Amino acid sequence: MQLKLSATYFLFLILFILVLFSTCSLGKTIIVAANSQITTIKEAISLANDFDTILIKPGVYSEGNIIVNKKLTIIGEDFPVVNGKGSGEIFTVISTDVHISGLVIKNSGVSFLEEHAGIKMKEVSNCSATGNKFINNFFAIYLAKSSDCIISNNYIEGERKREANSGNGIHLWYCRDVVIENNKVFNHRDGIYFEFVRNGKIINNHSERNLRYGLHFMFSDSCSYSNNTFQNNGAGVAVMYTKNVLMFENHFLKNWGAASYGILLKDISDSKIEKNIFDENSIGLYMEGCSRVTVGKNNFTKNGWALKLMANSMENYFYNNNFVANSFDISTNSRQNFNTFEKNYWAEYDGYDLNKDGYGDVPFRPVTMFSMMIESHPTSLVLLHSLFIDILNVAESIIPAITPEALTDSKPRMRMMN
Amino acid sequence: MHNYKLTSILLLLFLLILLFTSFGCKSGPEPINYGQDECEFCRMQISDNRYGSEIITDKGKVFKFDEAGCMIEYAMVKNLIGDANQKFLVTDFAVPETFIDANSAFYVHNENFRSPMGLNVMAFDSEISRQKIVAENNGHILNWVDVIELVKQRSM
Repeated sequence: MQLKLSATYFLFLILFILVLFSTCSLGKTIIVAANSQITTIKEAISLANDFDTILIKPGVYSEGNIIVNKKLTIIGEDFPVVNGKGSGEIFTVISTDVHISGLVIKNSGVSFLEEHAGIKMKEVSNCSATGNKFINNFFAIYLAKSSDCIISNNYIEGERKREANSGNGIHLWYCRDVVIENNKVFNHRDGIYFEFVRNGKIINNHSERNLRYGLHFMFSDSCSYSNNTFQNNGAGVAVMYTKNVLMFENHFLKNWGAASYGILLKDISDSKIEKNIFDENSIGLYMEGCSRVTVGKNNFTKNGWALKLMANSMENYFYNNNFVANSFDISTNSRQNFNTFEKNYWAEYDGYDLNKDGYGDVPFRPVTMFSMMIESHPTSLVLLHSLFIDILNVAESIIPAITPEALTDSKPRMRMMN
Repeated sequence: MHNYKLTSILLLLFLLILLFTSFGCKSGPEPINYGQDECEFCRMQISDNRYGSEIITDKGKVFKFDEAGCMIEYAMVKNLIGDANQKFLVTDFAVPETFIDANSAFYVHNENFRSPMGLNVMAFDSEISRQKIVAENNGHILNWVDVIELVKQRSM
């Protein structure tokens, strides 16, 4: 009995090794080059088996829509160019385990009705696009209904035409467990767009000069973005109708314009915004309909408005932030306030700390009368920095009449947080 | 001296007229600056010129939206639905940036055509151009009341 059992085990082991070897031996490399037997990527794909590698030598390949329907690794040597010549999609990935790297992918078609992309991954998993250059595509990378994929180290540059005929740099729709890392995105509509995404991670990307948003979330859940830079976009980041978002250590720089924000939050709950830098934005952080959001350890400097907190936001907690050299630290649209401010540093604060505990002895009211006034009469902005306004602000701070009385920082910090 | 006074009065009158004409109530639609204007409801930049929508109130005030869905949700919050004094405008999908009356427009709902806030409803100014899209891409045919109903269901 004992012997029989071990023999079965042995058989299984041999079988296992055989299977292992057979998969290994399957992984052959097919070389695509102008002067070799195989001159097109399409031909290479049709000849390949699962787990093969296709190595593309330098050159220009214009083959229309390339459909990847096998588990392949496609590698470019010294950046060969795959040119879509302005019509249709370039790579359409419909198999799992596809990895594309080292290519220049350019000129996908622009369409009103279809969302053409440089690389589109449709209903797949375990795929990746790494170290490619995307030039002048409608959408650069488009993931639809996919999971467990990695998009990293790509350089993505769009044409920056009108918004309606410019797609997004990296676009995710109904995806799960996707990592977006170390990419650079320029001149698209939205740099990175998440629609119905669960558990996506966006790390260390640079998103600049995009027409609408550097990063845009819609109807997503449990995502995070950290260590990214969003600069000179129509607006930095918009997070809408989304839950459980973590936003750590990002830079929101120079997002100027009438409707520009560092972060635009609309209907967000249970999220964290920590250790970010908001510098020179029209509005650093805009919150409407947000609840249970923690905002801490951020630097707000040189913004028009550091923070616009609409009255329908509740139970948010602001702590240990620095507010320095903003035209307005906070503005709101109501006398009500259901949020907590604690231990923030306010450059405008001019109280004393007689008991030397590091916190000012009288609470600070960050909302000035003038900011309330602008909220209802935007044109009165022309009075900014006038003596008249200064006098009104002082009068209001002594006898509050229209500013929210409850919106105070009970423990204003005397020194800046590092 | 007398002449000087008359001139100044005339000048004042002229200025007043100028003031009134420039700030008078305009009730026509206002073009949307795509890529710059902000949606009154969702605060997003209005960017897709096939979906832009507008409400012109009885006082002549114009509110801009990035799609019909936002317009309807805003109207529901402000209780403007069914109020005949408010004018609702949507964009003709076939001819971007041209407004048509929302009440009499011809609508198609198709999830493959993704509008900015995910209502995915296209508007057309005629049955013919609607039929063309439906013939090519399918989709549900709706009227204005159905569209409002769709938004209500979604926001529940």
